[in-house]
Amino acid sequence: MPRRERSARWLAVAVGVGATAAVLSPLATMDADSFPISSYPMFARPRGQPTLYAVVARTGDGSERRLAPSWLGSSEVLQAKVLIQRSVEQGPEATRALCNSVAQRIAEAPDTAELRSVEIVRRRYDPVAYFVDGPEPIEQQRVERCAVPRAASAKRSRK
Amino acid sequence: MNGAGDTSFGRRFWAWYSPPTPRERLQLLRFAVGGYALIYLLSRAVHLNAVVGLPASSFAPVGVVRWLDAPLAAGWVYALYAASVVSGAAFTFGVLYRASAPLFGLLLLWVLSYRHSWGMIFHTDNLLVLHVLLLAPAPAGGNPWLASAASESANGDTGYGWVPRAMGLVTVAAYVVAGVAKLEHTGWSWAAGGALREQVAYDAIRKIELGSTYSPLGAWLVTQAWVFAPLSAFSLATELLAPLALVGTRAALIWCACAWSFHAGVLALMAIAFPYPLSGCAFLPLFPLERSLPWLRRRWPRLARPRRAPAVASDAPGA
Repeated sequence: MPRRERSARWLAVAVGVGATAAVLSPLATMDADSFPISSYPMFARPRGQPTLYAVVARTGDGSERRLAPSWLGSSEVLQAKVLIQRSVEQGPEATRALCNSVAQRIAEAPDTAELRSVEIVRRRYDPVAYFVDGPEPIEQQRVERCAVPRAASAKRSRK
Repeated sequence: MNGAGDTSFGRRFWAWYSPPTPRERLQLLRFAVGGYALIYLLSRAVHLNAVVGLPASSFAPVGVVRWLDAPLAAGWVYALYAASVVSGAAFTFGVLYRASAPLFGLLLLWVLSYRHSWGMIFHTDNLLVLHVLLLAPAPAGGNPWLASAASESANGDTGYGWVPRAMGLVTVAAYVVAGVAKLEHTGWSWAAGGALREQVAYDAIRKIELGSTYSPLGAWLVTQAWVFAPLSAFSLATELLAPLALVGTRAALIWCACAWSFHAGVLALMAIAFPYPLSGCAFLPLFPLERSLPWLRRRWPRLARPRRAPAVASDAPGA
């Protein structure tokens, strides 16, 4: 076999087998999640009773409105989830900043006059019980609350 | 040292690893995978560029983006995205393939890695990037509709049969890793259904709480516990038995149907789309695509008329 062809074959084997080995490499640790090499942990781990963070809005009568990820500046639900969680983990300043930025977006949006405040809440659920028994969280806590600025200014102008 | 293919084992391995593969198969793979990637980039333009508006505190670089200490300036994000679209178009249509293919592979890797560096990795893109990167060294430029009768009659082997084989190997490997991950984290009890039921419920709650679209079918099925054992067993078997797809075309067809059904089920139950496998493009490397060419030429005869002399033979590395 000509030397050039032999080299080309070795290179081909190195590329293909190397790429396959790279994809299989997370089997060694199972903790490494990256891109484009992943341990695909998303459906693998037991969920238990997960704690979820959410950003919600409250109307004047105290009822709750869920806010879509776009209010957080993201078009992706998973990214919105991580954005809230990171803000909470970073402490009160980051949480307040996130709360205020959502409140500001609400204030600037049309048809949101009934929304008076924004809350970041932490809730723990039993996922199966949520659908079988009812959607009540096992426990919940308000992490941050901020007023929608337009609501505050309207109040001042009424005075 | 013997080269790959010099010994008896080497010869047999090489015959399996790089079976005779005509240029048309590589070209059709390029057209399908590149076309998918290009449409994906264009349809996700807003999403891919939305990172310029995210707070720097959310930047968590992954993969090739890890060497960045801080987010890129908005201009760089837009420029790299635009370059990926332009090189993606060249890749898809086989223009300047020797340059455009590796360039597109690297730019796609960068653009998607950068997008996934903001808190959440979207595993739906893994295989797409790997497939484009593996296609880059193949002589896949030019128009498959214009292949000469001579090359067809000789069934001209390019010597690059290892490229679709490697694409098939990484596809199969990814599914195996996903299956083993379930066993590693939960054990064989994953197949009993409880973990999947919990996962479907969790996914729906997460979306409800975040004001996003969730699957009402999945939420309803959580109340029907019995259904999850067969679904779990099927999913796990599809992932762990993925290597069977490498046995032959018929086995590949059966496995691909199972894998596609698995993804259709994930979409129906969790509103999570894996568009690359759902489109079928992820499974194409497992099949002799050139057999579809006569049908494709009859279906789109205008594409088979050369506008000018094709230069398909000049794009092979080293040619």
